[in-house]
Amino acid sequence: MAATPARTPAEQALAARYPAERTSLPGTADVIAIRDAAFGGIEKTGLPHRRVEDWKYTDLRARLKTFPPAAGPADVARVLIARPAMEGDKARRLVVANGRYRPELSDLENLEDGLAVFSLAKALEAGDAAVLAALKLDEATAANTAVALNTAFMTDGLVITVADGAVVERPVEIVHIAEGEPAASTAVRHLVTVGRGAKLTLIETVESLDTVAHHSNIMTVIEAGEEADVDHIRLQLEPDEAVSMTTLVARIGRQATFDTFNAALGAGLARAQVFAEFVGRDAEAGFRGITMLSGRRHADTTLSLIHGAENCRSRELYKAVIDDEARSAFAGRIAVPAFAQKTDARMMTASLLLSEEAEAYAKPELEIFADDVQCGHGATCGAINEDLLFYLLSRGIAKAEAESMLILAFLGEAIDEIQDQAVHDALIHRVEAWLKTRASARKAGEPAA
Amino acid sequence: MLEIKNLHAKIGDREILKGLDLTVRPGEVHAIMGPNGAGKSTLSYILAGKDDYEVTEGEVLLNGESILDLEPNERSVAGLFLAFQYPIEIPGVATMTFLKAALNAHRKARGEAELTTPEFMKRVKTVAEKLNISSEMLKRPVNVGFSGGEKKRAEIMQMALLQPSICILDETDSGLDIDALKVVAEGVNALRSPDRAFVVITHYQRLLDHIVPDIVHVLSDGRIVRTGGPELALDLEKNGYAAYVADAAA
Amino acid sequence: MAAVKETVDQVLSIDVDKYKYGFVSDIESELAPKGLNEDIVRFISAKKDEPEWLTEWRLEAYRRWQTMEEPTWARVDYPPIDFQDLHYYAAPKKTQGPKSLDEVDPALLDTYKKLGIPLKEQEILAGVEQGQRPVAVDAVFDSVSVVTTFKAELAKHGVIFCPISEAVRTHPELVRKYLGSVVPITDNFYATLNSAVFSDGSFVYVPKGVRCPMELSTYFRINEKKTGQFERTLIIADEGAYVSYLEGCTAPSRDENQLHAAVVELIALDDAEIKYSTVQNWYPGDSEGTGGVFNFVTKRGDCRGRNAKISWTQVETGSAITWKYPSCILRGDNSRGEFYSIAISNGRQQVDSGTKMIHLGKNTTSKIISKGISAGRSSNTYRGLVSVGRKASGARNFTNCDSLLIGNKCGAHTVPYIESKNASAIVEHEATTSKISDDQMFYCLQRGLPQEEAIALIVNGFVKDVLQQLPMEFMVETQKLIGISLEGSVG
Repeated sequence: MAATPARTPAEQALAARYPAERTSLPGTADVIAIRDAAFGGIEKTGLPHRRVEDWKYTDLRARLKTFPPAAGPADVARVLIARPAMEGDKARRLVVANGRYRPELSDLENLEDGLAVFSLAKALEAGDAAVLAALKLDEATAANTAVALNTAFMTDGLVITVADGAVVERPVEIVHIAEGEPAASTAVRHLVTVGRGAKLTLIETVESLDTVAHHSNIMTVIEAGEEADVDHIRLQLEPDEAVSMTTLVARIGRQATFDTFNAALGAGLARAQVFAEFVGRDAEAGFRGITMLSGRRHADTTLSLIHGAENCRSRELYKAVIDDEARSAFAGRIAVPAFAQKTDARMMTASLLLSEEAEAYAKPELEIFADDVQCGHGATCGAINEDLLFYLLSRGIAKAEAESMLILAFLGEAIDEIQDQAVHDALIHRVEAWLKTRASARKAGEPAA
Repeated sequence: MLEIKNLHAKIGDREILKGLDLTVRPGEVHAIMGPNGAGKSTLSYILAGKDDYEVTEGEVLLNGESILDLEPNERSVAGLFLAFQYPIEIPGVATMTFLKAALNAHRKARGEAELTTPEFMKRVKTVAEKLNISSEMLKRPVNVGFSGGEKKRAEIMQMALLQPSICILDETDSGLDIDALKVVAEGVNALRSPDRAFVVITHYQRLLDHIVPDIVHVLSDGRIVRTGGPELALDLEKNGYAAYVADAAA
Repeated sequence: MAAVKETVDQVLSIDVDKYKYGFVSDIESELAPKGLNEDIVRFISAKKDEPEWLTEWRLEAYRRWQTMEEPTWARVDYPPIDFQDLHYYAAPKKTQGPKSLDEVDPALLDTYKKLGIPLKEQEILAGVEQGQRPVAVDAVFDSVSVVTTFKAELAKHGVIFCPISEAVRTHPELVRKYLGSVVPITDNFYATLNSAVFSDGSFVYVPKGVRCPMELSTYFRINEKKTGQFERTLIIADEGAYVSYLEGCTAPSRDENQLHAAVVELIALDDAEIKYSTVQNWYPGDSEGTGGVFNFVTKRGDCRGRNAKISWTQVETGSAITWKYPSCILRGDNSRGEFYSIAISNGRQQVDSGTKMIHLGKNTTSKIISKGISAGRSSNTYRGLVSVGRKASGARNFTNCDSLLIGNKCGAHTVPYIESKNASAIVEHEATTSKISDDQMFYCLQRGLPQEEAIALIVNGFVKDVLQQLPMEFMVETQKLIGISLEGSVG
């Protein structure tokens, strides 16, 4: 048997933090019991390393150098100045600063009929039965390290419910802001329930006001009811110093439509996880995302989808653009149990390597027990196609611009699936800005920052 | 306008052009004909600057300046246009975005301001209409889902938009039926002018019924082996390339 | 569609224990005592009259093996193997090493004849007169090679084809240079075990510039009870050489499981090409999963020189458990690796198979075509790695993995790993999983084909790209085998 390896500084920090904080974290004794179980799991196994299959390409033991202390309250004035609410903002903004929901910074006016927003911390303190039930996860998800850390340390979050039949046209945007120095960690959990036939567009942005090594761990659990229509988009925008872990857990009901899109644009170490399951038949879902990496950043997208009902259809499309010495990993798994006949699933992942030192890893996996299915996956990896580039150059377009056009086209295939026009355009602008920075760095003959 | 002197080129270890000479003056239309494997497409790619080929000897002058050290886009804005034998499909890049980027690159090189969107739209519409290119086609990504004929018409449309001084047409007739061939030829003929020249590369004579050349060359085994008037093309149509292939081999 | 439903039920109800090669040959054997220790390793080495360096090599592997744990990452499930309850050496008594055919026990020759493998050269040559091409065969029965045909003919071309136990004595320099150079003794649990106790197998050396004049083939047969077969194959194609090699495997139907842990090493130098084909039809166990061969095999080729090419083709229809990843190390610039696979699982069979393509040299190319067919209550997993190293500029891989499910009590899984560290490399992977199309099935039935035939026909169409890679001589046989594996009855 392998000897238990020595604890890393991050593991030591964790072991010191939890016992000190467990009783001051929000929640009744029941909640503490759930936290203890989650933390106990981490204590037992330590942080996962590359021999743990789910973390093969993101060795947390090696990559997580520290685990900073919990974030204190944010400086509200700084947040207000940095991210002022704009008149005529399309989305309804809800602010979570340093791991705490801030109603006073949030737009809660004229809440649509059927839409309700509460603080998770308050619900945990009150021992709200429905909220406690919603903390329950299946065994595999609960044991996932990012999830277990979130369960152990979560300080707050939003409980959002959309009543049966309520159509919330105006998007709801959760803005996560980390503020202050030195580096601190936050753990936030959102519980979102969209009732039967109800509609919600939920946008999450994750950002930091300071270029320090903040750790953020955000987990969003979405229950999409029968015939519900849910559109979820996350823009992850932290600075290169940051460590970012996000988890989406989605349960998709009968005849529901569910879409999620993750834009991994920031953080030096980013892990975006999706654990989704079809729980009712005839539903449709789209799982998509883009990753843009430069410098020495590392981003990991991990998707596990259980096609757990008949006649459901899903599309998965993840695209990564990798420059400099950055590394991108994608692991996607679609499981189809024997009873889930007429499953239709298509997973595609593509990586574009822009530099000699860039690296891409992909593991698109199918696990199928039903025979009457149409499932497929594809993966490609390579540089910008020389023939396409030559064609553009032959029409007089300069190389940097031609490359930018092709990169945008490459990412566009995924971005164009975003239904919300404002979010779509905002993301295109960010991509263009990234490309512009890269192009001008290329022109100047310097490596992109 | 275009001067090619003793051009030698190879791909890998294989020499394809073995001392090619060609002089094209403003206003002229040259046809280059030759058997398969003579080096016709190689010539067009080398002129446009594809880097799979290595020029080992000789030079290429455009308006008196050597272009061999220029990047493909620099050659383009210098006035050289290649109509591809197999136009490239670029999924995800809208045709209009592409055309605008190309046109603005040319304008910038000439020191002109970028066109406003309405001005640009108007220009595209004008050239597109003449070539039976529908607005629906323009909405698609570059060459994606175009038929063979549509792709060739789109190439000529780009030519019309960019107003090059020397146009290389690489097997533009391949894959076209007679009606499509006429449309393409008319498009080309409309662009003929005293200060613009064409090099029409083709295997068959039929394109030359519609785009009548001033001078016809036979390219075989990497060299121009014969030069003559339009009658040479008719002769080739009748007697084939056998005589020239034998010559080159001798 | 009702017709399809019926067919599926029919396939499910068929016993897989109608295995054609399940007979036992009554041949007296010499067995090593059960169990594994240093003395057994020395016993095997002494039986083979091996030089000391090889005995030490085996012992080093054995000591290493004792520190290792059985791998558990594959999607296969089997009761623990008691490695001390096996015979590590079994040899037919009357044949002490390969001699002339006249000395071979007639019962052995009969066994191979029954398996459709004639070993008498005059019989083979009689076949040649009827238009068949000759194939040189090395017949391995339990732990020893019983006969190798056409050795003299091959020797004229400088080709060495003999049992590895013989090569150790006659060509020690070649064996010592290449043995363990592709699959080191530390490689993995089963390969290390094999290094300690390997019994026999084939050795091939094709000298510079020689194109081997005929197909080479080894036919493996496990006969004895409670034995493990640990063969070791070593093939070297020197600069500019070409060889095509085929192995076939069968075993009797026995209630207990038999262990097979082979190692195959291929070395291709500059401009050399090795084509290695396998038709694996070990006893798969009965429909309830009793008995059958546990097949844990390490096969690896090293394209050590420029422009070298190694091509693996496998048809896996047998074994209760298959754990097998024939791989290519593409070290030489411009070298090429290929993997063509058909894996059919029925009954309670479990297959976890695939390949690794390790691109190290510039402009290296690889192609993977895998066709998995699962029926009955079986599990069929493709597991593969395509890795492009930092220096492998211009590398290119194309992978296509298709799975077909027949019935909904089986599983088909695809687990590819793609790792690229070079921007100029292009890696493309595509995979699909589906069932036999109702339309195709209906069309065949409408044209009058019985259901089982229609399934065999459609499946054969599904695997056609891979079948075409097999040497002509084996293609027809293999097509039949595919039908049999799915129907369980002799077609």
